[in-house]
Amino acid sequence: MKFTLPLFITIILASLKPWFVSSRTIIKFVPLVFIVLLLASCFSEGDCLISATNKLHIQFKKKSNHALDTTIAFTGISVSGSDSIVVFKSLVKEILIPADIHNTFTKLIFHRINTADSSVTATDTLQVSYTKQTKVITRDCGAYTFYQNLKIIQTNLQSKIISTSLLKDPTGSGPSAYAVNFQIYY
Amino acid sequence: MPSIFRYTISICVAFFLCALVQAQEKKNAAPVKKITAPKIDYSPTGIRVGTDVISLVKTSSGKTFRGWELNGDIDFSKYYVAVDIGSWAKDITLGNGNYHNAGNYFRAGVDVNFLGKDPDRNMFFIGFRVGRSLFNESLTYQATSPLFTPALNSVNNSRVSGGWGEFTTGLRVKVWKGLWMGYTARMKFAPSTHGNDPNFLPYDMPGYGIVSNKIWWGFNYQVFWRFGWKQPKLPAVKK
Repeated sequence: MKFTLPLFITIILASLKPWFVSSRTIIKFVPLVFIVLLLASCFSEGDCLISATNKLHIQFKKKSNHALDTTIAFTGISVSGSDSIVVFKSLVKEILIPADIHNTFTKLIFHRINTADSSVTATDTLQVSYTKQTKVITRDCGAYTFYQNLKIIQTNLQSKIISTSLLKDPTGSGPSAYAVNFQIYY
Repeated sequence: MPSIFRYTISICVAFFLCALVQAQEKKNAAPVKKITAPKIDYSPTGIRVGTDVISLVKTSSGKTFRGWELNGDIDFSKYYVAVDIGSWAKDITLGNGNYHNAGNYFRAGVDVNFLGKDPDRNMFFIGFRVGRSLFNESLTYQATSPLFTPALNSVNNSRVSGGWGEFTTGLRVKVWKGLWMGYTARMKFAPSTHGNDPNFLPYDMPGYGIVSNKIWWGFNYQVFWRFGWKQPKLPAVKK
């Protein structure tokens, strides 16, 4: 309501003029005053809904039928730019893996074991590139990076890009709230 | 028989008198004058120059905004050609960083005064403006992710141009001699920007506000001085 005071001052000044405060004139201006006060409530920037994420959503599907999920036993996934290894305790059919926020590419190395024979291991790689776009959401929310134009640079896997943007539903939770970026076929 | 003759004579006399009176009335009736509407004088009678008080107060009272705005209009009967020029620079502390912008802008358009019969030419107006802005902006913010060390990102846009449209309404009241005060409420819409780094979407455009809001509101409280060179023609007051 930062302009309530100036509005008040104008009305006071205007009221110094007897002609101005005739009942007809007041009736004419009452709707205007209400409109102005109503507009005062429209100065907010809106809610803090952040759809930006740096997480890659990868689904695993059967090679024989791309519509069917398959589960993979990973011993770990290493992500370039980080010393940490992402470990999964159980079989997974989809994963969320963070992309490197310091670079415009990320190399993922998947270490997996055969579910029938745990002595059999394999290593796969998937290197992706992307562009980063910065956007200020709101003053309170702050600025966020939107990862776009996702591309596969190098991989030994049979895969397909579904969505080239890393996005999440700000009101959702879990992997389903994130846009699916890749399907990998095992 | 004599009575019938008498009645006939009376009726004839009555008709003759009526015809005589009507003829006399027609003779006395004033000739009808054709009234023509007074010709509207569109020549300007003065120029009003002012400034936005809110910008000056915000500049002097805080460290996050520096700006000014000059407003001017010139009358063409009930139509006013209005031009605003201004500048603003903002330092905004975000939830995870700092944003800065600075630039200049102008608006041009027409207001229509709906108090045309007012002897002081006070205004309640509705109008339209087209705005243009040229500005630069920079942003530093921290990005975080569980696996990575925080990243301090710096991006900037230099020489971004932009435009928008706006509907205006407000009041102008003559306070004393050439001193006028009033306010202008603005509904700004259709912002567009050009020339920015594609990796950084413009946030706050001087003269408009938050670019991502396709409708944004503005408000000016203005003080004017009117330099008149001609007495405006006003409609005659009915007695």
